[in-house]
Amino acid sequence: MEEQLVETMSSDLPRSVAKGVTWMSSCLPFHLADRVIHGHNSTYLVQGEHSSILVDTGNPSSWPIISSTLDELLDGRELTYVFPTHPELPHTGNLPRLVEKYPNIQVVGDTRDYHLFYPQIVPNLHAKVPGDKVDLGGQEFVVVEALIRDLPNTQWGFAPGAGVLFTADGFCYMHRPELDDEDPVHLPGECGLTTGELQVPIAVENAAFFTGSALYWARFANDADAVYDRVLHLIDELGVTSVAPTHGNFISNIRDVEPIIRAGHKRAYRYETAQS
Amino acid sequence: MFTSLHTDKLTVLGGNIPLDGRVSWVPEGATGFQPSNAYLLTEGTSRLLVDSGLAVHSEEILEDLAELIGEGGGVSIFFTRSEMDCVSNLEPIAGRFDIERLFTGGVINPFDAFDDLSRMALRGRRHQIDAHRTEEGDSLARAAEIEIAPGRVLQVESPLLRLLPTFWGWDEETGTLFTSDTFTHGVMDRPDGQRIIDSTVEDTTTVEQVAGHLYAKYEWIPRSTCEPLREWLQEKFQTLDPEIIAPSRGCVLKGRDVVRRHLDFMLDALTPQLV
Repeated sequence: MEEQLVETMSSDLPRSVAKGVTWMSSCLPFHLADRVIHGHNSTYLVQGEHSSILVDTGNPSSWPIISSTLDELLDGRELTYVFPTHPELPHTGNLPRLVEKYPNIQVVGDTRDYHLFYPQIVPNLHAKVPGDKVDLGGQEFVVVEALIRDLPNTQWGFAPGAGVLFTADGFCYMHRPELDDEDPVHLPGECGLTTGELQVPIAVENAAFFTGSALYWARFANDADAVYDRVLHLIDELGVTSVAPTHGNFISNIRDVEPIIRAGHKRAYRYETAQS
Repeated sequence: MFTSLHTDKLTVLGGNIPLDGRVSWVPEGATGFQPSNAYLLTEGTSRLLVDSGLAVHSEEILEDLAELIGEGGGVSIFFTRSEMDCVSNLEPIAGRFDIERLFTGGVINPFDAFDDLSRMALRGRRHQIDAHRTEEGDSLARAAEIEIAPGRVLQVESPLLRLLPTFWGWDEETGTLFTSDTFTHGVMDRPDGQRIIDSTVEDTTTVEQVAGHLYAKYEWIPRSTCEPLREWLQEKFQTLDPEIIAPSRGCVLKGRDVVRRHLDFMLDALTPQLV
C-alpha cells in the first residue's frame, strides 16, 4: 500500500476541551494488514484575551494542517508563545516554521539544547523554570516540573483557568487490548473522543506495554507508587481537572485513569523476583 | 575539522559544544567543551555516515563531507537515535549530497521534516531497522546488518542500556563500537583540545565524571536495578573486544587499554553505591 505522505486531522478536531483550550491533534495513520489504526500527535492551543500559547508543535509533516488550524482559531491574530515540552520531532519539529510564520513568537520553556538544534531561532528563545507564569489575559499558563519524563529538559504546563495539565509523554497510553502495538494508537472515529467518552476502557496490560517501551526506564526503576503519588499530589495542589497528553486521547476523568496507568507502570518493572 | 580514526576506513567529523549551562545532557556545573560526533565509514567508494551531528555545526560537517566524499557525492546514513543531536543535519546534507539510503528506527520518518517535493523524492530511501520488534522490546542480538559495501557490514543492535529507542553499531573491520548517548563523558578544556583519548593522552577521567554524565541524561540509574545492565555491558565488551568506543558526543576512546579502563568506569557508575 502506498505510504501516506501527510498526517491527517480527524473531522472531529480541532475541539474545545476546556475554557480557552483547544485540542488540535493530527493523527498518523498506520496501515496494517487487516486494518487502519491512528496515533495521536496532539498540540493544544490555550487562548486568553490578548495572547495565546501553543503547547508542542506537531510533526513537520502535519505543518499544513497545524498552520491552517491556527489561522482559523487565531482569526488574524499572531501566535504569541509556543511551549515545546521537550525537543523531539513530534513536539518541536515545527519550531522553525512557527518562527517563520510568526517572527515575534516567544519560545518558552526549558530551552536548553535548542540553540544547538535550531540556531536560527535563538533570538526567540526565552528560558522558563517551573513556577514561571505567562499571562495570556484572563488566562494564565504556568510552567510545571515534569514528573514523568524521558529527556532531562522535559517540562509540563498548566492552565489554571481551565484546570488542564499538559503532560507531554506522561499519561500516554493505548486503550484497546486487541491492538498489540507499543505505540499509543486508537481506531478511526476515536480521534476526537475524551477518555470519558471512549466506549472501550483503558486496559492495564496496554498501559504496561506502552510504559515499558516509551518510558523504557520503568523496567529498571521500581518506583511507580512514588512517581504517581507525586503526580496525585500535584493534581490536588494545582486543582487539575483534565490531563492533556501529546499521544493518546484527552483525559477528562483523570481520577479513573490514573490508577490504571499506575498499575501498568508497576507491571512494566521487570526485576521484581531478582530484587526480592 | 575531521580526524581519521582508521586510515581509509573510519573518520570522525563534527564540532564542539561549549558547556555553558545551556546543555541538558551534561552534569550541572560542567565546563569545557564536548565534541559532537558524526562518523564516516568508508569502503572503496561506498560510505556510511553514522549520525549527522548538530545543526549548529552544519557548515563544518558539510565542508568536511565535501572534502571526504566529493561535492554532491553519494552517502548512506545510519541514525543511532532519532534525537536532534543525531538527526538535525539531515536536511542540509540532503540538499548538498545524494542520500542513497537512510537507516532509522521508530515510527517517525525523518524525511517528514522536509518540504513536500523533497519528501516525495526521498521517502522511499528510508530503511526501517527495527521492523521486527521483539516481544518485550529487549536487546536484539545483532538483529540487523547494514551493508556498507560487499564484504563489510555494520552490525546493529538495540542496547539494553538506553533511554529512548537507540541502536548501537559494531564495525568489526575497525573494531569500533558506536555507543550513541553512552560513554559521552570525555570533554576537553579547550575548543582545540584532543578529541580522542588514546594511550598518548594523559587521561584524567574519574568514575564520578562518568557517572555524572550518565546520570545527567539517564537520571533513573541511581534508583534502578542495575545488575542486568552491568551484566549485559560486560558480556557485550567481552564478546566484541572493541578497539574504539565511538559515542555521538564526547571524546572518542581509542585503544584496548583505554576502552577497558572506561568500561570499568562505566560498570562502577552502574553500581551507584560506589560513586
